[in-house]
Amino acid sequence: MNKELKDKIFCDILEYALELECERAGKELPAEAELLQNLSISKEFEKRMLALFRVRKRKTVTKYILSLSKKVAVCFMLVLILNITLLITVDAYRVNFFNLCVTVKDGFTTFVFTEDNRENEVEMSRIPEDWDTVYLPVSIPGGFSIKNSISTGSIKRIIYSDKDNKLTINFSYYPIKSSTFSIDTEDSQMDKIYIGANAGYLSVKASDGEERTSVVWNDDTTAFSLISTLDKKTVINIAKSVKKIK
Amino acid sequence: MTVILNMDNRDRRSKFEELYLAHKNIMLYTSYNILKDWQLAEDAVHTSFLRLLNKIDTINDIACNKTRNFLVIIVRNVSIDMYNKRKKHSEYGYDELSEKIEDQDLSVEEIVISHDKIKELMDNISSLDKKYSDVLMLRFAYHYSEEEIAHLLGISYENVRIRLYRGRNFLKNKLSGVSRDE
Repeated sequence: MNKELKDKIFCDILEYALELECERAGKELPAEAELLQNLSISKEFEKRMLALFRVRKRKTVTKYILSLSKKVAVCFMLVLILNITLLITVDAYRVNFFNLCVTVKDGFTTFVFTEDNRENEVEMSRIPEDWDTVYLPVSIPGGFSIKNSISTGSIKRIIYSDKDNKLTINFSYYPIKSSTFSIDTEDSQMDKIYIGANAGYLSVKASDGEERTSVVWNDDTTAFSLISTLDKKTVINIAKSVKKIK
Repeated sequence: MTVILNMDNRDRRSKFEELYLAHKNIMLYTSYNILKDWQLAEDAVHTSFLRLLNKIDTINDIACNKTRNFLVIIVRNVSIDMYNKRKKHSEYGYDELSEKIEDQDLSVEEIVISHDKIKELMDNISSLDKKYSDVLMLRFAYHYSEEEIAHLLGISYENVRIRLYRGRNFLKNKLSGVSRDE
């Protein structure tokens, strides 16, 4: 019989003997009740032990939360991977996923991004098909819609009005260097503003008891004009939302 | 009486607290016998439970004799450690081995696995120096690893291995001597 096997057998015998010896040693110890009368335990000690028990409880709770967090993280990763796979492979899922929330701020309805362009299609139906370039403000106050679209030479004008036809928004644009248009700024205050990265001018004029706000600006290729009886802040927001649709 | 003993609902008490309530008296008693000071004995019991903080799940039966012995082993070692640190020398002789243990190649064929032989081995274990029997018990009866034993007893890993080696060889030597005498 080799040395390793002999050693293993001895260890097994020793383990058995030690188990029995532990049991015997424990049995020979005096009982708790017998010792009680001779012992003196201070309140300070009891408080220290209570603090230790609280530490142990905290460790147990922390350990449980950590193990739960790991499981939650694994589940989250699985869901994320599944979603990414579906986004890449399934068109219908992607369309629905990218129809984002609509935010309503003070009467505005803003479409931040949509792959489903139904709203733009409605507005585009009021724009003549022969217009080679189309710019539209995508952020319009609620209740406004396109009433008319006019083309005069290279100048394109789109007129919005509300349901009662009392308030209007006149939006115009033209290619730079091809034509010019002017706005009435007599007796009005002109302020320099920025529409995105583009410099422009804001003019507010009172006429017939109402204020009319005009904003003009341009980018590298096109000049824009926006005139409305809406308040200054709203007109600036509309101007900032102008995007090239076609 | 005390804050802890006023807790009526056993369900709300954790295993840790149950262990303390079941065996605190014997732990204090053991510790006091070594340190001869109640405050130090309380410190030793507190330190013992600190060491047990992460090992409590390895204890299955709170009320059994084996668990009782286990707690006594821990508190005894903690108390001796504290005593030696106070006295700044080892009075309990836990640092050096006084007798030389020779490693003998035990012939296992000579050992008869009988109740008498097991009992003799148990007697040899109980007569063994506590520093060896404690480590042997923690390793083979309670199944702690050498690293865990080092943490529980507050000694180095190397020290644990040396004590295990010497303890086993001493018992082998005794067992071999008894077998050969017959």
